[in-house]
Amino acid sequence: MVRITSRRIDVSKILADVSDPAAGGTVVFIGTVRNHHLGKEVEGLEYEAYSRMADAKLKEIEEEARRIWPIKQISIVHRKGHLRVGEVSVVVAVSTEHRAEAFEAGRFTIETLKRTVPIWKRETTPDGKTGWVEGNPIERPKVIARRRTRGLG
Amino acid sequence: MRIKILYFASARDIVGKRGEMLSSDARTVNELADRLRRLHPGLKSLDKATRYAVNLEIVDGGAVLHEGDEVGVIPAVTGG
Repeated sequence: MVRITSRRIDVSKILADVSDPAAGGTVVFIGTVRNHHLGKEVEGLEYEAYSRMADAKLKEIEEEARRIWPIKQISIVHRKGHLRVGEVSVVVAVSTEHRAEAFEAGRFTIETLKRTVPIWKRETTPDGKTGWVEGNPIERPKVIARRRTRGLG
Repeated sequence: MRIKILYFASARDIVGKRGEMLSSDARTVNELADRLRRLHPGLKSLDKATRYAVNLEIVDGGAVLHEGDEVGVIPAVTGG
C-alpha cells in the first residue's frame, strides 16, 4: 500500500501490512526529522505535497520495484504537514523471500521517491526563520528504473 | 484555451497563491512557461530546477497543451 498522509505514521502497522508467510526477510527504512541541516539547528519541517500526483508517483515506484524484484509485500507512506524533530516523515517497507532483494528494493524505493515524488520541505530554525530545503529537479520513476537496469545509477 | 495552473512550495511563495485559471493561447508547455514568467517575474529565479506536470505527468517543454489541462509548476523536490 502507498499513500501520502497528514496523520502520524504508525510503523508497527506498516510492518503488519508487509508481513507475508512466503517472505523470509523484511527491510524497513524509517526517515525521521533531523535536528540540524548544513550546520544549522532545525526545530521542525513543514512538508508540502502535490498529493494527487505524489500518490500516482508512489504507485509507479511500487510498480517499477515489483517489476525488478520478486517482492511479496511493499508499503510506502510519506507524511505531509508540520513535523517536529524525531518524528517519522517516511517509511518504506519491503518483504521478499530472501534478504538481498529486500535490501536492494528498499534502497531503490527510497532513492527513487526522493527524486520523483512532488514533495517539498521547509525548515524552521529556533529563531523562527523558515526556508525551503534545496533539492533536485524532479525526474520520472521509469527513467530512474531504466538507468538502474542499465547499470548507470 | 483555459488552463488550470497550480503552484507549489517556493513557486507558490513567489506567486503568492496556490493556483489560478489562465486563458492562454500558449500551444506548448514552453510557451506557457514564458507566459508565466512574464506574469510572475520572480519565477525566473527557479528556472533551472523547475519542471512542469501536465495532468499529473512530468512532460518536456514541447508537450502540447489542451483545453482544461492542469499544469503543476514543480520546483526542485525534497521529499524523504
